[in-house]
Amino acid sequence: MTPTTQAIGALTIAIVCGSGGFFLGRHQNPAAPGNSAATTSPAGKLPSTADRRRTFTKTDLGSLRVDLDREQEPLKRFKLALQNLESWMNADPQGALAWLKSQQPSGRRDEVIRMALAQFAENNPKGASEWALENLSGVEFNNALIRICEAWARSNGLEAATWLNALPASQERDAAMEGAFFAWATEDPAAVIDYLKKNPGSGELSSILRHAAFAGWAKSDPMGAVSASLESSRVHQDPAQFANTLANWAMMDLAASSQWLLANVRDGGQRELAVAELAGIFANQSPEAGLTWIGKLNAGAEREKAVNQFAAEWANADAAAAAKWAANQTTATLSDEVISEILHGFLAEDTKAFDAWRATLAEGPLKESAGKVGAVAEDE
Amino acid sequence: MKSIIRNLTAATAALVTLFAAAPESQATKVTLDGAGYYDLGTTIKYYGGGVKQSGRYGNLGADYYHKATISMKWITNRTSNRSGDLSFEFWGLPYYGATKGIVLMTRSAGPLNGGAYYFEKAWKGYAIFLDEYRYPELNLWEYTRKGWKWRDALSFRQNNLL
Repeated sequence: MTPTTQAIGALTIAIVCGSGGFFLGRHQNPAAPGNSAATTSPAGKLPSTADRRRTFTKTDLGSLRVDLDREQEPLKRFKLALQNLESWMNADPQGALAWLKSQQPSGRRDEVIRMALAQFAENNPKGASEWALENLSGVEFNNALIRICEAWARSNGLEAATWLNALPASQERDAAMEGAFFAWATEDPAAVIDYLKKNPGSGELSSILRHAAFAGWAKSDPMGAVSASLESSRVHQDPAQFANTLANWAMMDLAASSQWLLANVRDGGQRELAVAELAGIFANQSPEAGLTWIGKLNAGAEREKAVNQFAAEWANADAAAAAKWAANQTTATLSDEVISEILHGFLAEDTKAFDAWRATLAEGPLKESAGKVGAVAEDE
Repeated sequence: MKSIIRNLTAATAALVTLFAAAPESQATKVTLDGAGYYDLGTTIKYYGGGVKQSGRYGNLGADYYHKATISMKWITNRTSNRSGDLSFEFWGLPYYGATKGIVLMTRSAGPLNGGAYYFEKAWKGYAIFLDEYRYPELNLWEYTRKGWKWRDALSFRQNNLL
């Protein structure tokens, strides 16, 4: 049973029952994904599967329109439309949406339009995208087009990409393209890469779409994706692309991605950016493992930069832990800015703990810097 | 500006806290710095007329919404001039490092006087509930004579059910 069907059923039941303050509600626990789609409607009162799959004939459509035109009471007219909406949407989505849009503006009308559009997108994403293009604007168009086109790209990426590519450039079009190319690449990376080779485009969007494609590829075949992205980023002189592909692998498997980098990319701009990216991810996800990994980096500038990147981000995530590490480590040289990040972060986190820690510091630059950190009362 | 710090006992303690650097942070005059925070309510409700927003958008349209709080360690005007109106926004991106995505919530945050900043200020509101795992992002827009201009962003390094 689709959420659309459930929602339409729930709305119908609520109107029939005369609940003036009706709303559709969902309660979900973010910690338990998958439990989030229950609606307030009792499942036993929803339309049967046969009803939901029914598609109107032309005769049915004609008589429905006659009945709707005949009904003078707005609430009853809307109820009649809702009772037939799913079948109507299956048979004549543009007609159903046009009728809904012609009704008096209200929250309930907009709610039903959204549900109808979701059903339209499931049945015919191209038609739904065209409807959104003609009828929505601004942020609602942005959000709707992204959702429709990502789903469309998963089922028919080439069709979605071709349609989007033919639109005039706009923020909304570009946002939908980025999401669609990512989604398409999660299903068929070879086809996306082939499309991008044949339709290279130009400028910033071209780079963004390559980032999206390799990030999507990394979902299903991370090693293949980073290998191909490394080569591509060298061809296009876009080291950030490789770093981003690797980072998307690191989101799923930080240990494997970081080992792969050390074993397969010895030097160059690609490695430099990727090291910085992974150092930040380690600081947020696994600081202890991060310190071990940093110890395997090339001694000198590479390791120094990584340590500073790591420490700055660790200070954001857990300033007290970063400060205790900074006080005990002797091999790396932290920049003044990073030391400042750590000290101020720790002070803001827990003043008493900061003062106690400061009292334990041995004489040296860190104690000197810690002594200069103070609190002021106003921020603006 | 970061050298000035206020002794603030954690109003953020109740917030879901995720941390990330801003991979696309640029030398703009109004910037996001330090850690970002967001907290999402667990009660989801459909609003047929949308929910009132502030900042760049007044309404994001009919959708499921939940309560949300967004916050940054620092939002700083690094120039001596007063900024335009600011819009502090919460987005859901398709992948880590994406440049665009679904706008989930927008809150008015300005203007800021020259050299002024917000420190650990939280904005409450209602965010669209997508029922999808996406990468959250906080970003900042400024109203100028040429309309709204993107200024800075902070991408979280962990996806979540948004």
